[in-house]
Amino acid sequence: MATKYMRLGFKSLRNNQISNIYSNNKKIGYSFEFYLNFYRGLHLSNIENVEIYINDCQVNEYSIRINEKQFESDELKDLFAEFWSIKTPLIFEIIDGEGVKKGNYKVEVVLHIRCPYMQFGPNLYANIDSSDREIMEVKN
Amino acid sequence: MDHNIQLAVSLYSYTQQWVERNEFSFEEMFMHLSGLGIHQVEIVGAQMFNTYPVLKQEEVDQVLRLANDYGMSFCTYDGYTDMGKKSGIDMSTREMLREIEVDIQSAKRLGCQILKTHIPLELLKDVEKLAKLYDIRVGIEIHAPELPGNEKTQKYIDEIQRLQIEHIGLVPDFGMFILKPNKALINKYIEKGINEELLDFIIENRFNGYSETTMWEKVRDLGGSDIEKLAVSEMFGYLSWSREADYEGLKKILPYCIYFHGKFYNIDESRMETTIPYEELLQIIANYGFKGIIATEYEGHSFMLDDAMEQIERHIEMEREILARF
Repeated sequence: MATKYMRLGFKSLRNNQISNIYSNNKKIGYSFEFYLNFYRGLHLSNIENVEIYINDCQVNEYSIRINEKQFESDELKDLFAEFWSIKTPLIFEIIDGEGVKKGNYKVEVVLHIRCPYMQFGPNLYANIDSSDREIMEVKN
Repeated sequence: MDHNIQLAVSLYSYTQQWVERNEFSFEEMFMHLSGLGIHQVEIVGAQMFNTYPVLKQEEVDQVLRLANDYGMSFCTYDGYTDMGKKSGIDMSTREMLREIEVDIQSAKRLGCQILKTHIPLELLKDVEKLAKLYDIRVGIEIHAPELPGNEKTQKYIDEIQRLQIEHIGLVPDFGMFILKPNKALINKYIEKGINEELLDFIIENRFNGYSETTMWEKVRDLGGSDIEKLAVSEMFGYLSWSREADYEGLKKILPYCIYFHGKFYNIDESRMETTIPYEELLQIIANYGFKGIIATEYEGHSFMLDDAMEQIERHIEMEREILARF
């Protein structure tokens, strides 16, 4: 499908849950899952922009866990051999030393992806919008 | 029944179920298709496998085992040439050729007779050599908003003739013959809160000299935002339509066609596609004497109606009913 801007209807924030991360029984951060809103998988290098907001506050430092590996946000652009399957969530991991209290949080992720097979000119590709927002619950 | 057309189904047709439900498996699709008397399927590598382009042997073995259990075979592997995979730099032709070879290898591992992919014109000769080496046919998809009779398609035919290509052909997608915007598409935009006056403007002026870019600029100036931008992009892209179906263009490219994508969006209760003229298309293809496969390809996930099972059944019924007359 040759379309310059694509946004399908799949939920990226699908399981509505934020999980605290513990070390020595102390909360040190939190994580949540994020699926690709598209019909096929893509490579992590195709991710062009990620912004995370929790209760409208931007999270600047995060890492990404997928395929039993962990990457920093500034490494994404080089990961052309790392496949993000349509069935596999990215896990955003935020180690802030505090974690989050039980309750509901407004989570928004802005995520744009280059569609690598839909080229409109030299180094110019269609854009996939996989952004999503959801009220998510912390249970642990 | 004098025609030599076989029916298959692309597993892409189940996209919504596959993406949204973790438990939705190959087994469910094979069981459904087996019940419809379908025994050939197309599979999309980057959608159905957890690693792409190089598929894990364990996943290949599992899907082959299940296919065997349900009497299925894979007729076609749907590959990609992800030329924008690397950031900031387009793939070289050498890298593209390598990607196509990996897809050919995956197709062979799955027992497919055809790889459907994108081939740049300048690589036709090299891909022909690979196809010959691996004993497979490679199909270039001709897809909306392109048309069978346009310049881009003609260039491929010219090169196929000039280079005396034997293993590469065309795969027309029936989405090129959409004659009007789909009702489900209009409903989707309205549900998402589109400005209906702007939607009417886009539809009424689709063929009044606007490109996708200039239409979006106009709609944005009239107050359009994200949903109007999506409507412009889809209506000038894969959900584009024509005022008249390009039947003459189709007739001209038929000698180069090796496979068809029976794309569809909505089959109504009377077993008619509401926006694509299947009767005329199948008649042209059958009358030409095409020997090969038309693969059902439902793209209903564009509207998120969760009705793939019913729509695939209706599509197969419709095709059988039409083809029985030829």
